Amino acid sequence: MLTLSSLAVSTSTILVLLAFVAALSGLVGRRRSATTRHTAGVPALVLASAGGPGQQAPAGVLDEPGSTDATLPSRPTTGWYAAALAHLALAVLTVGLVTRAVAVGHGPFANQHEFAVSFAWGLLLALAWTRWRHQADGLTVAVLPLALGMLLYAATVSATPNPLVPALQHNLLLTVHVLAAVIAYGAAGVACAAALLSLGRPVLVRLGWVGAPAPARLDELGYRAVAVAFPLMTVMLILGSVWAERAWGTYWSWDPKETAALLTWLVYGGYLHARVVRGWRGRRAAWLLVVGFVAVLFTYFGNLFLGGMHSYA
Amino acid sequence: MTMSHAVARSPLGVIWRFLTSKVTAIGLILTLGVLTLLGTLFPQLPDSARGNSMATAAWLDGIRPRFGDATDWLARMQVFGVFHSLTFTTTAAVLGLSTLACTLNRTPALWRQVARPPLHPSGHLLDQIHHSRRVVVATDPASVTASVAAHLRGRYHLVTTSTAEATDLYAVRHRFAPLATLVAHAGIVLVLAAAAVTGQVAFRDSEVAIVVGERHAVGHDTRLVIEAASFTDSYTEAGTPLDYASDLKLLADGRPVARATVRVNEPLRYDDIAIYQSFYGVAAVLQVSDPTGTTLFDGGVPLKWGAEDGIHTVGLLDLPLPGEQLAVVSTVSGKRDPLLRAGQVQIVTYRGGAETDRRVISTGVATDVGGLRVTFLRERQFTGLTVARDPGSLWVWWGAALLLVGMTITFSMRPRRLWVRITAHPSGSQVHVVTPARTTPTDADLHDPDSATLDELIRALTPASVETLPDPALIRK
Repeated sequence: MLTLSSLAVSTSTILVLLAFVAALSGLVGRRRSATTRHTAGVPALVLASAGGPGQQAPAGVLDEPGSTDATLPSRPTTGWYAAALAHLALAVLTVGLVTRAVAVGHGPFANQHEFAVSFAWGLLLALAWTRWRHQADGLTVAVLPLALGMLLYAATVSATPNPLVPALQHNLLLTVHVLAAVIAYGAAGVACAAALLSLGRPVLVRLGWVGAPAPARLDELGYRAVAVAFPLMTVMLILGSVWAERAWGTYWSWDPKETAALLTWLVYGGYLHARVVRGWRGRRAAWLLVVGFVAVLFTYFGNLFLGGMHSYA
Repeated sequence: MTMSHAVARSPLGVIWRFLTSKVTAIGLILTLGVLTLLGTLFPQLPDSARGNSMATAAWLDGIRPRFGDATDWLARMQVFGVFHSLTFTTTAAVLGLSTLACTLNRTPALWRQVARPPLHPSGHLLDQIHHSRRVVVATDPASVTASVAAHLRGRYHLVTTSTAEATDLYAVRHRFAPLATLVAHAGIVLVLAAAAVTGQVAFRDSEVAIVVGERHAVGHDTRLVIEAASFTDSYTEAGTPLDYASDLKLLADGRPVARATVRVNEPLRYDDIAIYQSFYGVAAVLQVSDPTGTTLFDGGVPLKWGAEDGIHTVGLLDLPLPGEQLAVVSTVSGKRDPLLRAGQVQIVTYRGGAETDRRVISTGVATDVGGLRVTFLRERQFTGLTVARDPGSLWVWWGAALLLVGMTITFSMRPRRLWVRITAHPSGSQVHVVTPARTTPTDADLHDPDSATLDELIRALTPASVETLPDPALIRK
């Protein structure tokens, strides 16, 4: 079972790599395609299927990679291949995590390797959800490197399963508490990807990426991802407190991992208030999303250098 | 909530405006974030050393090699005690007050929105209008009104109708959802208040060490006594603890009231007292008597502190003599010290904090140390427990539940509102439908339930024509 799990994780890593290459080549292809159309004297912002020649497409539709490929409906695009490979990677990684859980007898969240793989799974899941819910293909190229990074990191740390230390021996809380973190962090990664694309958009456009999603759309996608991530982070913190009270006799002990998670929650809380109440949009909001994901990574990797009561993980 | 000019300029008014300012709230959140970052990056003084100047000094000496000359300055700046510093607690308290003030400040407006919804979009609502469609249908206005109302009610909207020169319908789904943000913020206030209560009235003894077979009085006016009946532990092949558990008896006024096997994640709860498995180790069973032969101590001394050399463990015993203490030093299992072999312990005696004598003694051999006669009988296990009573925790959980419920509703059940105006038209009726914006205007292609509801309604009316209006002010009353 463990062998099957390892195989699935390795396969998924390769699939994510291929998906990323496909997404990148899609950008290059779109650049060439746009250049060709411009030189042929055809306006780039024309959507043949949107109501006849010459009709202006609704704002935002053409901002998505792949949307101009509506003119080539009979042939799948590289963007389509990237998404398909990412979805396949998600499916294979799910198999890998389930088989590992069966093999070790608990949720696959007990050490750095298992959580790194789960983190990648959360990123791919959040990407799939965003694509399904908002048809946001443009984020694929920015989310996949994050997932790939996590999978490559997982490959560098020991995958040997060890028996759970007594503090972790609570299957229900281990599963729900960490699963909430995994999905929250995945959604936070998608928000960060949207922010990075928003911040890097001027450069990308200057380089010729005509399909770069519109800033307002990226801003909205980032917000919607945080609207998923933030409640889940709250669930994670509350369940962590419930568990801490049960295992350590106090719901909060200012342990470095706890405080790092609180810091992350405060950053996203600040972002939501700044955006909703103060109307922060664009670059300022995007930078907060980047800071938020840095806080997520700090919380995750904090086990390696912060010590404290979570240092077993 | 509006204030008169005079009230607004009074000190209370200034405080109220400060507390209800969104800039204040965001500033406090970010300040708390920065302080939390500091507390995460710098080591924090453990609870066991807090309030004990000797233990604090020893702890600071331990981190001095890392921070060098800056250690004492950082300590004075409370960098090693961020979460108990005045700055942090004040910021958290003001944030709690700000959250409470903002919640109270927003309540009337949100309640008005829910209880007395605007039957016509006006004022700031017009600025939020995003979708605006006008259709003509070949049916009389009364039939159209009935159809529209039935359609929307079938989609879980609450429909309110008013008729003047035209028929206006206001439909809302998730009507009470706007109040959820108040629930979430009330939850935060409750958590902070409960945490403050915890700090004042709770107790938490985290270093209760009981030698197997012995008893420990809980204290704190509880009349409870814990007896450690037995202790078991198991390990992996690599020596990592796999499980450790204590069989505990709880007695009240000498009568047994509870008995349980306590392990990590399985505490013993009795009334509002909870007993948690925390740590464990080896105790040295000693007999100590004074020169007259009077027994001063007969029991186990838990060796619950590790020495800095990593080889020895230490236990401390307060003797029933003024200022007299005795320390027991043993070698950690699996480690070797040629001067302290198996079956031996070192006894160090103190008077008024100053060392008076030290001797290595062997099992069963009565030895004079610092004017005391000490006999090391055997080793025995002790169990380390945390005993706590926290009446604030229940309110923390209630606050957390409110926070979670409020937040979930806020993010997943946003209110969906539509305004419909139906007027007579030469061909039948003219129906004008508007919905407020949920997204920025350029995000028309993002998933938008309001837009979907509107489109569904328009389709259901099977109109002859559909006109998308750029100016929602056309239906301004």
